[in-house]
Amino acid sequence: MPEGLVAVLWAILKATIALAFIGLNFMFLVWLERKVSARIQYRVGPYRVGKPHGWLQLIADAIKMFSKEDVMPAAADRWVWAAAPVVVFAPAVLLFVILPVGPDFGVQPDFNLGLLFLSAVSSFTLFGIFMAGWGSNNKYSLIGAMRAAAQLMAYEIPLVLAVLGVVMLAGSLSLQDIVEAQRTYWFVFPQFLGFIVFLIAAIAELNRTPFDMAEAESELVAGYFTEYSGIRWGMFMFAEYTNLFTMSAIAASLFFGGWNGPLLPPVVWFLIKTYAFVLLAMWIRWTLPRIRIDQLLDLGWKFLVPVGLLNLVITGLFLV
Amino acid sequence: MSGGAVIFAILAAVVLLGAWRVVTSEQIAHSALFLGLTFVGMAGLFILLQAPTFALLHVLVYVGAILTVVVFAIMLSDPEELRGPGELPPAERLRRRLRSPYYGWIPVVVAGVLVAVVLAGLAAAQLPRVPLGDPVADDLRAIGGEMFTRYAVPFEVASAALLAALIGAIGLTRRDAAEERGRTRGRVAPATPDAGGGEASPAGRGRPAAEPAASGAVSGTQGGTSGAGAAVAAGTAREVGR
Repeated sequence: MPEGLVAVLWAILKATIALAFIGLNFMFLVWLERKVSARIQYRVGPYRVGKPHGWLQLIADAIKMFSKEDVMPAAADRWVWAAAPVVVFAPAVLLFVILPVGPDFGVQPDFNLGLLFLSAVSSFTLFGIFMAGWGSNNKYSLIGAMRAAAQLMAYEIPLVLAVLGVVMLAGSLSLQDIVEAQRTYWFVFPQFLGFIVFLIAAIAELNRTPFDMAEAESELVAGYFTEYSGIRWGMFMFAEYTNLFTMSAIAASLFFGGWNGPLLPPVVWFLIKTYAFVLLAMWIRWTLPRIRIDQLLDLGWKFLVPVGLLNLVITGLFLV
Repeated sequence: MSGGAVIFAILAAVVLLGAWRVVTSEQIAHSALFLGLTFVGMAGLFILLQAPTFALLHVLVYVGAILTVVVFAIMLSDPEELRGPGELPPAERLRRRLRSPYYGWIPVVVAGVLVAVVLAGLAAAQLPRVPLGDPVADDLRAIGGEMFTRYAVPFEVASAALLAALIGAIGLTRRDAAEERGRTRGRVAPATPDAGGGEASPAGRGRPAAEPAASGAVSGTQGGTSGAGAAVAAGTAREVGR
């Protein structure tokens, strides 16, 4: 077989494995979130469907989601409304391209512009949210989208600042090089300030409690995706949980050595560290109440940005 | 036609269609979304030219920053104003457009002049030909190095200009103390009566009323009685604007 064809087939195979993993991971995370929230609230969670701890519940959820009626609001802006889930969904899947799962293993972990790709692609999510909020023609959706837009600038900048510290230490934008650079010590030690900033900004980026003002189910009835049902709603959920996994994997790769670790194979270390962050995010979600939007803006501009800049200065001095 | 030419044709069509819809959309939100489509098409063209760094930077700056601010501004405006009429029959819409200078003949003249200037410039400039696939310094390190050495002065001047614009914007939006006192005494902003004469609105779409409506909303949060007055005034302005 010619060289080019092999490369194409190999790329398609890797993409297929990644997509299958994304699907399974989504169902697993939904189940996990229900179990974790139940545990935190002294409940049992899904238990009846499937014998050990309701594991079949996730299949039942998926079937329900696919078979539900797809309802479009009469006043909706048809095209914008219909396209919004796709615009939210696509970047979530695209980000899998840069994840370093193991040494030289992943879809394209040695992409030399990896982190630039991360910030470029993740900026599309806001447009999906805006399209959903606008297209629904519903005041709650619109308020949700407005909050998302207002929030975005308060945490995107600290997020980039926090990542820049790591980039300065590793001297590369490729996640693979960054993980390789942490063979001797994890970057969380020299970059502790950066890690704190990254953690807070990443949870805000994921729209999870305590920063979920954009969907705020108790006041905005799920905000920008109030009007979605069935599989379109499922795509929002899909994007949310896939983003949760991706952000956790990026946090693990940037600050906790990614797949580096003794004894166990690298892929296992990658998954352990990533799911540890997923659990941390779930723990935070079910422990803390939602803050107000002005509190997030205060936190973003008056704490995260100065601390992120300070971290950059310290890293620069350290490097010189 | 090679594969590259086909992809170029598709991307060019996306960019042109998007740009055309940006200026012809009835709703400003649609314009913003088509602007995003245009930016994505442009990024695709950069990738076609084998410049992925520029493509990503383009998306990051134009979609991630500029369009975000545009969306932010749209979200802060009155949604009722922004949605536009929407129910006009196409023939009526076309007639109004051709009659109004804003949507009819002025853009045609401006676009014609622009095309003529650009074509004349291209013919005169004798641009150097860069072979396709030759990396034109598409290396982040190279770009960063150039920016802090050879182009350090233009770079700093550009950031100083942006800083000045930022300070100017803050200065413009900040209301001084005297105006603040005027508002609390019940003197509604003088902008309201101007907007009542909605003849500036070309197709009766109520654009001029958007500004007083926004200021009414702001003063509504400032002081109780005057805020209500401003809101009412803005409401009437909106009616006339339609």
